[in-house]
Amino acid sequence: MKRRQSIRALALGAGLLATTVWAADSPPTKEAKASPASSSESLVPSLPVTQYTLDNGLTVLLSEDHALPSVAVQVIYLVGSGHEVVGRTGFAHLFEHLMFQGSKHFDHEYFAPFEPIGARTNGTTNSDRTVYYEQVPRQFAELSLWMESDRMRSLLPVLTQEKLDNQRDVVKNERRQRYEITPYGLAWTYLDEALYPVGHPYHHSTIGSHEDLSNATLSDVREFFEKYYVPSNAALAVVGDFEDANMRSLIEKYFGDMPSGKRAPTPTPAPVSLPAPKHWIAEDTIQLPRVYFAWLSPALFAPGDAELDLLSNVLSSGKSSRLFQSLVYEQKLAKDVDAFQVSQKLNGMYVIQATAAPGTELDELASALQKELTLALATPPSESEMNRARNDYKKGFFHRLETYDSRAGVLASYFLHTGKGDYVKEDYERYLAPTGQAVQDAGQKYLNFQHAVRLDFVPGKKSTPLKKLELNSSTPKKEAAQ
Amino acid sequence: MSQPFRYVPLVYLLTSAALGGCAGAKPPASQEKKAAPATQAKPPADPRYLALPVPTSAPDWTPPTASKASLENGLSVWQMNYGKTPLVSIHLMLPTGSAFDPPEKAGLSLLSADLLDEGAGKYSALELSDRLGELATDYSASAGVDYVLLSMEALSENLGPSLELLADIVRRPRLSRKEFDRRKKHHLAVAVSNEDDPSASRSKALARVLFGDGYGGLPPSGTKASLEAITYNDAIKRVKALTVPEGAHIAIAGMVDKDEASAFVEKAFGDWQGTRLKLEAQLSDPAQEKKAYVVDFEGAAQSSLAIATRAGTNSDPNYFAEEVMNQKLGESFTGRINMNLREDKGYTYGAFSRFRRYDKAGYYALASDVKSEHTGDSIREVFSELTALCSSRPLTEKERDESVEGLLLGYPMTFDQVSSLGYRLVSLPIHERPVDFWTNWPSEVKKITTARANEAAKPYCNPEHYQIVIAGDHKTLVPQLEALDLEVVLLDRDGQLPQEGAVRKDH
Repeated sequence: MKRRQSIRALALGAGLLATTVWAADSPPTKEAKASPASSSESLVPSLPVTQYTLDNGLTVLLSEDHALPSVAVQVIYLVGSGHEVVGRTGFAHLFEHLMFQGSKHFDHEYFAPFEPIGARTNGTTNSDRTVYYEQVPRQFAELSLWMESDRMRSLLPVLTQEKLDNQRDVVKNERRQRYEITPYGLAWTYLDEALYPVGHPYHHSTIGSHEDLSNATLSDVREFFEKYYVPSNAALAVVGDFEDANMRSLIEKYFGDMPSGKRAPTPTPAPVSLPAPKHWIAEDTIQLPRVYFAWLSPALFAPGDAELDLLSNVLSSGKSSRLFQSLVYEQKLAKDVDAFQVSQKLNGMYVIQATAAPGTELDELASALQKELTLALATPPSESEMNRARNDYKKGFFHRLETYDSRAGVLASYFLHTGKGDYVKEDYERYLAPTGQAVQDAGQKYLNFQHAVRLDFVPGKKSTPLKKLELNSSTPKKEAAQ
Repeated sequence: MSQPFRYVPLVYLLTSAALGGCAGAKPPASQEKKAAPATQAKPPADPRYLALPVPTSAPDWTPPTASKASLENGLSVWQMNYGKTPLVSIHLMLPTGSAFDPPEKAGLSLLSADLLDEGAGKYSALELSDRLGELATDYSASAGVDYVLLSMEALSENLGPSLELLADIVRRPRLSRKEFDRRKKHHLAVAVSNEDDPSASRSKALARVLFGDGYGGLPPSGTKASLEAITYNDAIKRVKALTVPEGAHIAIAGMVDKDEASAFVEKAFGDWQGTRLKLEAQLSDPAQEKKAYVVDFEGAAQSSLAIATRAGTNSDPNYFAEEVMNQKLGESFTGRINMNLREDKGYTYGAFSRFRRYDKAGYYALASDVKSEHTGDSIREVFSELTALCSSRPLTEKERDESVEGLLLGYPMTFDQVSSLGYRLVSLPIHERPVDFWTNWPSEVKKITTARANEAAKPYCNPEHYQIVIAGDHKTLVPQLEALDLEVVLLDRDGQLPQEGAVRKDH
């Protein structure tokens, strides 16, 4: 259901390969299918899981399914860009790339044994965690455990300066491709910086800066590996066509004897708030300006999180959604408008973005957006609006449970955020429970323009420094450009 | 009907020297120990990691079968009833695509298709959108060179009502002038946005350079000028030509009952009438001389680079051989192009190649976003890989085996999502393939020998046959391209050639 979040998280993969999402275990009965018009209660997504911990602290999440002769393996390390130290932004992700450059017993491209068996392989990093995964034909499940365990236990003996330098270049190219030459590509970097104070784990983007990437050293890599890439700080999810006892013994064989290490503490920043609004202006080589409003929102799974997700549908999903209908369909001020939440472990970010239609001034669009959002939040969503929103999330759950690798990702994510893999029922129900009133209340509580960051993208040069206007309650005051 | 195929265990290749694996090219730990100055004995090699594990026995697996039936009105009904997730993918393929847009009105097919759901049957545009929302059915319209696709993804339990809506959309669109004006403005705004996006500009330029204003050369989404030229009457006329059952195909894939789905289709489309308008789009002659075409993005940190040449059509007999050949050239991560440009040189985040095939033409393109100052180096490396493929480094037995095994072993996994199932199914009518194409696919892939794959590479090895298209910083690029003896042609953001480009009519 966190579509935006996963898009963002997947942005930083090592391999540029296509990734997928997940499926349900209980196919509907013929009876259920026979009532074509009903759309809600007949099917419920489920994801059975067995969870246990090895003696060394590695958490294991197993979910068996024999529908397809394939097995998905995912290793999640509880370290992300939120754990980076000052001067080393982008390091967790750069490190992820190095995990594909060979380990002691297989000092070659990590992809090399996987591509000839048709596997899907990749890794991703976000602020909270780093994951690595393979989906392989079931007869090669042990290969995946062999490879994952070897890089978990012995990356360092074969690490070289040459590998670091090469992947540093690759990551810088990734930054150029995904953030610098893409129109509006640096919006996320700016929003993180504006919304979170210096020193907060989310103040900087996962991709990091060129300068910090240049400064990363081999000893940084060693230190990071020894501190974070240990069984106590990781979980292993295996989904698909395997046999439980056999899989347990293979996992013990490859992972059981590694020294435990320590669970890395989750960063504990001071509670974050935005006491006064901010207005930043970025130039880009674009013709159509775009405005973003961003607010702090609850952490993933915290009260208010699901309500705000549902609100996103009410605001911008479908032609009659409140912001789309007013700004795009009727007033024609915007080419597009989108409301969504990026939910993370410590805090969420709620974003509404709108691109100006040709001929519309950005200020006009921004004012209209403020007015329409205020209006939209003045009345609770109707039952019909709520139904559409709930049904959309319901379908989203089936999507996320569709493939084995996506299921493994869901289990790992539940483990990261709740400590247990068995969470799909709770997760699903939190989207069914809220009333329209609760959704309205959440919107009014969190989406207050007095505590919002406004970010404008206007036509100009990418090299022009960002303008940062810090606003107090009413009068705008200009600050020196950065 | 179909023979289940068995996987050939590949581990013997993996653990041999062929891969340069742990037991092959590198000495095992025990030998290292002997070679090291013996001060203190190293711990013995870990027996678990001496070789990659041997796979367990391969499962039997049969790909899902597709079925095809026809309604009396000419509509073909394709189904692939498969999967355990209660989702269904629906595509209605209408056989009129952007190839039939007049050059001065490029974007007509897509804009016309886009109008269909702006009010249909008893629903206004907003009501129709709400109805889709209630069902949680996603709907979209897209246009390719040869077809328009109206696509839905729905909960399986909502197949019937979704098809009813699809019938409203395609058979009873309201086509109001007001909605036409609104959607035209939107398409214009998208065209403006696309001008600012290097990869979108590169795609448009690539099509123009390879196919001119003829078949395959026009951008399906149009340009500012071509969209401006489209009138309400143009769109109405195109919708009429587009929305007929003759030559149309509906593809339904996912966890649905075949008979039930057939009954829904019959009910929604059985009495749909209309005959197809015959349109002809001419294929232009290929450009003769290799040149570098540049769309200027001043100051861009990267060049969006494509190196491309014309290739065969949908029905090209070399399809399987070319696909196998391309795996290790540029399809896979460990393909030669990516390993060279990314993993060796660090010029890019990724470099890949692929074939695009249409009814009357096709092309092969190698593409990458590369650091601006290494654009010339990247072109040189790609050309040297192409040349080597037919001279010093033809595809090896090992590369062929890895490609074929990878395709076969990974095949079951490509059926695990309803969206990919849907595209797989509708690709059959799109590419004019037989109903058992995906069933027979593994055995066809297996037939491709190393010699056959190398034979298929031949038309693609000569750098002189390629055109180079770059969206990037002109100033940085010119000296690099001139150093490669390439004539540089500057194109606009729509990929228009300066002289014999599209004849733009002002109305």
